[in-house]
Amino acid sequence: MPEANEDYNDTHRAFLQAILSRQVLTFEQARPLLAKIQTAQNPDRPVLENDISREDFEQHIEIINNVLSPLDYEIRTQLHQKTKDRIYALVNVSSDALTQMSTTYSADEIAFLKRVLDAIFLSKNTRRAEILAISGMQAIRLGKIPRDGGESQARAQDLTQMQAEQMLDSLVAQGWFEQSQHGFFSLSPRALMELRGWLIETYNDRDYTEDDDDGDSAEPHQKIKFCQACKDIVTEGQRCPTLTCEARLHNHCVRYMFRAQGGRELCPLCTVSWHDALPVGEGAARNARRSVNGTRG
Amino acid sequence: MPLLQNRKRRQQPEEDDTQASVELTPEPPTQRRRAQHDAGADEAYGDEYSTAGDVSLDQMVKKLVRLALACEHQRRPIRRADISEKVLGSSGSRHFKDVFSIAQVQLQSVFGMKMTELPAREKITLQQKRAAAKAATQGQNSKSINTSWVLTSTLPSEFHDPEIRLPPAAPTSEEDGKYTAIYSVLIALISLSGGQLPDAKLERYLQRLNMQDNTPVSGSEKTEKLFKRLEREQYIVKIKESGGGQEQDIYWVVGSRGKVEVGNDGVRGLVKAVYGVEEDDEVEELEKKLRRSLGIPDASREVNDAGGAASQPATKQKRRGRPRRNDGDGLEAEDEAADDDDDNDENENEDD
Repeated sequence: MPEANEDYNDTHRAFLQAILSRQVLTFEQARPLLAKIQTAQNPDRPVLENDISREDFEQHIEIINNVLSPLDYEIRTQLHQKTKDRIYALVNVSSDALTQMSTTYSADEIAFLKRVLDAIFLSKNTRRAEILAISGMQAIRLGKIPRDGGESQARAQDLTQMQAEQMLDSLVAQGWFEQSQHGFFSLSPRALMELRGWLIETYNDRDYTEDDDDGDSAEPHQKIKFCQACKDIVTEGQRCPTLTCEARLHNHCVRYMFRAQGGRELCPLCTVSWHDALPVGEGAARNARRSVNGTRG
Repeated sequence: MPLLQNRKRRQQPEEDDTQASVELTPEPPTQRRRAQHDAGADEAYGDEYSTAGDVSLDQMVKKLVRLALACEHQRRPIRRADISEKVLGSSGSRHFKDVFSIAQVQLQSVFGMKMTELPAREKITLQQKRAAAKAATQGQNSKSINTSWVLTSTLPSEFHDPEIRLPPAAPTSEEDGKYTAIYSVLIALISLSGGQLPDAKLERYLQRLNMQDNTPVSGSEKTEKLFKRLEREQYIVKIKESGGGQEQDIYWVVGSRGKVEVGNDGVRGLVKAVYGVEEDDEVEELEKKLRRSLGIPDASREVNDAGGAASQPATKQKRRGRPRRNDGDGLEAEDEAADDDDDNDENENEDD
């Protein structure tokens, strides 16, 4: 099949092998790599890191993706919500990441992971505070399976504190989770890319459609929300000051949105001023604590 | 396999493909894209949507390619039994050959990799040899069932650059680099000891590497645990042989994955990197000694074999020139062990 494509050669294969073993790459990491690969292909014409333009790189990926797609793999890209780095990841299109992970982790560990994900996207993601992250302490506590009676007895399926810690470390090491300075765990860009379909299916209503641009506010509160500008999932960013409004923006997308609106700094959905935008992500935890302290009688 | 028929079908308009893909897979867009860019090449090995029972050959090929990549990611061999169970299913077992060879072509053309058969476990001990002989006389063909493969790169050697071929991120590149360093050193030690390393000697090497209890892998993993992994992943294999009496011989040999992934070439590369010789004559000298230690026939042997060991130019090269095949020579081995501390560091640095 790929022989049909004369553009596809060993430089693409070598690059693919590199991204297979690394899982994620940034453009900055890819530049020296591509330069090396092209030099290896053509030793008489050494290529320097600076010779690799973003266009070269994007084109390289496009050619690879054309060949990969029949095998249900794809190199996808997304901006890191915190560092704003553009992350490229090799994503398995046909099976979700949880299925893949179940080959490396035990059933108990996967169940624990599921509890952590539920916490991140349900209990830590309410209309009042969209934290979409969980503190290390809270995550470790989820090692124990919550009992309805409130009395939790150690059972076989529970993870000990140490096991839970190890599992979290491993998830960070394997690039599924990220841990912030303040000790909050959240999903990495790679996890968001790989789990996108699964997250939407699990936490949003099935009739929800992504390209629903007009954001009908009659819709129920959707747990997974998308950026008004780039349409990727927002787990770190800003939200409309109106709590019932569904508009979300990545921090790095705000100015594009305003520019697209001719400089008007308003919510793209309910047109309220965006100036008092509320945080999405870890910042919401601090906000929530404040408001809870202030309002609870 | 109705190859001809399929070629004919390939030439039919595209709707045929999309229609077929709707039946076969839940992802029509992917399939459609495929149809656009690969039409020509499919001619070469034909059948895209020939159905073999419920699942098309094409689907089985895709599954096998994906299985191979998934196995490799976890350093598990691709086992024949897994292919039967997960790829071919109940109806497809007779298609193994077709599926395998097409998957092999795809792996090669897309990823620059191929499935390399792992050498069968050597029948080393007397018991093993007897069991093998017995099986052979009874006509049991255990080979085809037990065959397994690993993925190896088919890219030209120019691409075998550590900056291009990074250690896999499992769990992280750095951890994997350490692991690679350790098994490379162990395999080198075993290979340079004539292919078999007594357990007691290995113990001594581990002490010198300061790895007798803990290893640098994933926050000082217990040596014992790491060796379990090394054995499980077939880098090295522990052999226990009872020599008639109470005594039990325990020694280590290079495992099948170790042979494929590291092999004599890897050992040579590692030793050369450690010795760091640059002068042409020194390189040649070292090469010759290595070939002898590893038992590789020397092409230039008749030219100057006798003088080889006597005229040692490199100061770092100690008593390593003597030909040695099966006997583990204590003194020589000690030298290697002393050098291997550097090895380890060096490899780790490369990987950082």
